[in-house]
Amino acid sequence: MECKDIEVVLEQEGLEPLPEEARAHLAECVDCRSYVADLTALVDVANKLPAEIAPPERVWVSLRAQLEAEGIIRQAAEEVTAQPTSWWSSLQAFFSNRVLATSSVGIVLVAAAVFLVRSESVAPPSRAEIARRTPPITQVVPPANQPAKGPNAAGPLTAPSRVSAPAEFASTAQALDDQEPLATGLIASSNSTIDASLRDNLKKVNEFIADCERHLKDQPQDELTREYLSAAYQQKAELLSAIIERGRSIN
Amino acid sequence: MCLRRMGMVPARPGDVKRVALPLLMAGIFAATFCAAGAVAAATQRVEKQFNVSGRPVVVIHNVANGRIEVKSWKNAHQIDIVGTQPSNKIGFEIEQVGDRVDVNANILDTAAQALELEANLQLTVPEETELQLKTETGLIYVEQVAGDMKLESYGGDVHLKEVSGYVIVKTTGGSLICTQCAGKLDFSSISGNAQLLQPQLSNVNIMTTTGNILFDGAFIRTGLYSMRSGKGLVEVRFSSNDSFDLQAQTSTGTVDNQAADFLKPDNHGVKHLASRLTHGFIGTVGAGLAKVELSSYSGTIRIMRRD
Amino acid sequence: MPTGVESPAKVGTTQSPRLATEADAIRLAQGGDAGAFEQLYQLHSRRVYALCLRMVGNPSDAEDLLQEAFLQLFRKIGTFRGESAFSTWLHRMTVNVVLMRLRKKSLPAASLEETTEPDEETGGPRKDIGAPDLRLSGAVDRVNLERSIEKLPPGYRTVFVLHDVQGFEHNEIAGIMGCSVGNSKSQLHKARTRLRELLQEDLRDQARAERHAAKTQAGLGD
Repeated sequence: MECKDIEVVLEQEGLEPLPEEARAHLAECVDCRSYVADLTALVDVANKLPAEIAPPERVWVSLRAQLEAEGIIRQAAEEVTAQPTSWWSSLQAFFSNRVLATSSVGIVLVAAAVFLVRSESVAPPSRAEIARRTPPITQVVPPANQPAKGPNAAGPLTAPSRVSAPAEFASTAQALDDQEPLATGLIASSNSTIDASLRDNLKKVNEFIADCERHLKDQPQDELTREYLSAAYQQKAELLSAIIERGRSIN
Repeated sequence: MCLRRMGMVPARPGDVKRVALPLLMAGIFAATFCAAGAVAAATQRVEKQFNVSGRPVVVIHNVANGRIEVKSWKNAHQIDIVGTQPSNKIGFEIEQVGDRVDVNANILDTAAQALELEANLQLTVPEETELQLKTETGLIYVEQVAGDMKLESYGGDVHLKEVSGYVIVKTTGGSLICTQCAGKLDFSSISGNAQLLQPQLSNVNIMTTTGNILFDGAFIRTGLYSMRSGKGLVEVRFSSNDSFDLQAQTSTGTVDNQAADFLKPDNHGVKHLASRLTHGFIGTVGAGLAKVELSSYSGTIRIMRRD
Repeated sequence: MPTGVESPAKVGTTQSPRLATEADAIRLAQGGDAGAFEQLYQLHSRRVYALCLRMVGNPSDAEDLLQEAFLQLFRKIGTFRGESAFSTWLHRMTVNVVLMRLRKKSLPAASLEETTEPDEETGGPRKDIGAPDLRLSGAVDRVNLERSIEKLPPGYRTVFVLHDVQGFEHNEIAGIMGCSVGNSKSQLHKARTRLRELLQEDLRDQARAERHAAKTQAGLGD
């Protein structure tokens, strides 16, 4: 190794650990040894510089005032306790990286969680319990000209009947199914090509999900299908989010 | 026949048609012309220039309908934006903060018809511009821009020509055609197709649930290429000069290796449970310098040699 | 993730209780919850302020930039989808805000393209032939290092502060700066090399000043 190669090594590998060849060269070359020692010294001091410095309190005060003036800060949401239910925590885990777009959806989810978390039973609500609390779909079918409101309204594109989702996806599938009527209800009565396209794509992704779920029921060890199913749930979540965002902006 | 001409005998239906039809056509033509004229009269145009430096960022969102076209020029310090809309039911807000230019198209009349909400944008930007475009329908067309870009659409197609950088495209149903593009590409869609023609991309990640995928070009050495379709066709065309490792997998679809005389299956010695449950193929071309992974849940994977 | 001092999230003056995770805070902030905003601010403001201060060198500008970065972040929080870590997203926004401010001020030597001239004969690191011993070991301290960091071109300065001071990894810096990992490594190495030169100049200036002071003292003593 020559002196010019040391530059390349330092650039690509950093200061530590240096490869054997580089160390051998440093043992013989005073200039390179000095160079590396200098870089190491300054990096050591840099590592000890404080990574955090507390800003003055006035910055938050001013920032908060600006946020309130712009209406970005609104009233505080309901308390979220530190005892999430199992289905809620798995929904959070799923959506922590896939947060739905609109604040109304966030409030709906939080409100639903609050309703369920503050219910009498401490144990997480079972599907039967959720079904019991949810009014039958036939009772909330909206008038033809009005978009449906609320999470329990029926829409024309509720998920096709299908086998139950694999265990690890069950709560995710349920959460998406719960959201779907809200989303489709917002655009149910629209004739625009965009909304027709969104409905069509929702139908396609639902069919694909149903197909994968059926296949996994027969071949539970098919990891490839499992990957596709996971990706399809993600796409459905993003699509529902887009539908809700669009529905809110036009309603 | 003479009596008919003299009007003595009631005209036959055919006669009425022969007379009425030209009149009707003339009326329709006149109405269309007037309507077009009315629309043309109402067409509004806004043009703005912005001085920028370094790597500017252009953000376009809420454009309901219409074409967004972005091309580059050699002027590294100016962005030119031309917006046209056929009515005053939709308005542009264009704002600059530093090197960032924001373009919003806002619907001013929610009762407006779809045709009245069409808003076309033409941008000419420095080559290194970063783009963030979001639209609902309408074509997004980008040519010779080298900055990173994120392009989102519900139903609109995305056409890219000679772009480079880190390109992220997300659509619901719109399709992607990418010609002579370089850099990295991420595409995800539910039903959109993807065509990559003569690419110089070093990293490709494509996922579509029901759309088709076509890759017709070279695999760059040490490049990574992942192309997945749930139900559609995944087709790759390579040349004998390429050098890549290929893995093709499908759960219930088929693998159609039309280059069997050139692309021989390998025995990599890697066996896993899924291989018993999926239809798979592993092979190498040349020294296997690039890595290509093709998969489809139920569609067909087709591998062809171009030359 | 950086391994700096971890401070517990402070409970703000609003009525919302302390929230369980950052993900909770983001979700509630997207709904407009004041306490959630404050929690996110408390979680990240110290690190962001440190970055701004090192980039612009004075507290007044750094406070403005801190506020501007969080304002932009909170305006756009509804669009956060979790494609990257929240911290990466925030730091990316901060770097953009800072670099835009520096461009407006047209600081000298603001080019990201400044390179270290390799030694022409051997292609190796620059040697200071004939100069006094300018080894940095033992001679670099926090004060002269911070002073030298301020003199770096903004691009070098950003990468150096993010990596060597704040502890971000190259893949995170690539996400923040919008560059490749290779580019981040290259910029870091150039930054360190340039810092070495700046520190050596600083030492030379100090040595010269000391010699001058000594001569003056000797002259006065005659």
